[in-house]
Amino acid sequence: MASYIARKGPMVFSNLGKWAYNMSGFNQYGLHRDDCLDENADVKEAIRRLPRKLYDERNYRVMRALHLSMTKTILPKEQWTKYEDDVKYLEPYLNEVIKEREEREDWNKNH
Amino acid sequence: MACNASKTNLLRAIAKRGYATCPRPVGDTAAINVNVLDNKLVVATADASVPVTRVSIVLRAGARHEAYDTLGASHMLRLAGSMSTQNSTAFAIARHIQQVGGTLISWGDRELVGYTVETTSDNVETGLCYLQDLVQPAFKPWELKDNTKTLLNQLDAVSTKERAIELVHKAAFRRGLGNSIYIPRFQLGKLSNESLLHYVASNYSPSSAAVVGVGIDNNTLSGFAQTLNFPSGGGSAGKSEASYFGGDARKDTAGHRAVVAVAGEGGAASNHKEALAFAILEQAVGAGAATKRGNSAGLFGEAVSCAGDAPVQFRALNASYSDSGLFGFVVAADGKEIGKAVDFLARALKSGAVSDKDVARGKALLKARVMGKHSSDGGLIKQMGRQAALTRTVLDANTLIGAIDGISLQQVQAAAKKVAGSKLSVGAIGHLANVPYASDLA
Repeated sequence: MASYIARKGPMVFSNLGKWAYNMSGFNQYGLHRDDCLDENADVKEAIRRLPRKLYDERNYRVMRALHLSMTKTILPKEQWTKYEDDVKYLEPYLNEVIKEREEREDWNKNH
Repeated sequence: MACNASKTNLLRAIAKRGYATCPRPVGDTAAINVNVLDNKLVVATADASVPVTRVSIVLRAGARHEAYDTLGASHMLRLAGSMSTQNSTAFAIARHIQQVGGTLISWGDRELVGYTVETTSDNVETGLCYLQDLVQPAFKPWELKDNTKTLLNQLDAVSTKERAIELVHKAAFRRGLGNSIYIPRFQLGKLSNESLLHYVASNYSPSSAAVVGVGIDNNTLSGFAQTLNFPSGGGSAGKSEASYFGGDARKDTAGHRAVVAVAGEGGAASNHKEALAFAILEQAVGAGAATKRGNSAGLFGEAVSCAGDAPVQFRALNASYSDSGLFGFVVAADGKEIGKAVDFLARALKSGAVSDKDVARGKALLKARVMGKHSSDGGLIKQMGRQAALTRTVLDANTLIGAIDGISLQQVQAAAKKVAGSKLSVGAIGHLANVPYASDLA
């Protein structure tokens, strides 16, 4: 579906952002930003809505990261996720879930 | 979303208050206004008998338009009434309509899919606001998945009688009109979001749709209809002509009961006179008892009583579609007894005989039925929706009654002869050991 195309890279490119991104370290496990979100109810629902392929890719990255963490290693540098290539694949789904939740909350407040 | 379709201006509001428009008396039939918009969308309105406004959007997207790989799409469209659309969520649709005490109903048959919203007259704006969204369903993949259980429940609730009627359609028309209005079980979870949206885009178009209302002013409804956003590329699906084949469609199931539907080729709605003749014939040969737990008079009633004392449930079956139709009977009985009943009824069907007394009774019954349907708001809007979407115009009750009176005995007899001469179709479900095949009945 057209409206669910994910954003790639940062919203606004900045060297500070790039530095912070690389400092955070998750990219050295080959993870993307959306792999590291705290799994609250919204995120869980958004993950459930992911198309099969994106869902499998996410699981693969998470499992690989767990394995790397267990063996106390990181990926070779050419496989690190780059600041410019980080795909926010969950964002469109998550935004929709949040909007739906807010709609429900608004309704409960006003009726 | 802007929803100014039904904004009444000040003068009209004052006029409305001043005259205190009285709803038409219950049991009376309403005059009908038909208006065709620039984009060929038909808008029809009638007065209400209760202060409740009913508005329907009727789309020519029923089961007959499904291709083999989109079988069940029209069932999903009925389900779409409870799912999110492009503009609003399922939650918003349900809650806002409920909040004003309204209801939203989706319905469908082999040719049409319709959405009807019922609200009190002063809350019609809320109803219309969400009704217009339904023209653009979203079919979000996760909602389709979440609704699998609902679909299964709906399929389990289909009675054997309905399934026998589905089967006889399948035997008679094979594809097109032969498609079931219920999703086949092998298609559960197989219809993707893309194929459903494609189905919507190719079947929803203003030139084949209709907007009808009871208890709403024609100008207001026309204004609303103008704002409807039909999906682009609308109506690209060509209509396939229905052709009658005949044959068998049988489904053996456990148990000792059997339900059998037998039919020959009936009248098409495009041929008004023939369709009415078949409708009269249906009443004449026995379309259910007129009294509670009573016996059905007419040819079929006699045939069943000749077949023996075993308890047999039956009624005439008459289905008129825009370019073809079915006429016959549905019968249910114990699997051991049903063979004889089907035999006798088929012989009655094949005899092609109908007396003038039966025709006179058939006419009276049909007229009562037409009046009954047209004098309740719920019945009226369904009639209007069907007619407006299929024939692009709506006949009021008086015209219909006049047309029924105009059908001669010969025309009804010709209808009986037509079905007697046609190849039969048999749809049967249950304990089928004694159910004859179509070739045995010929």
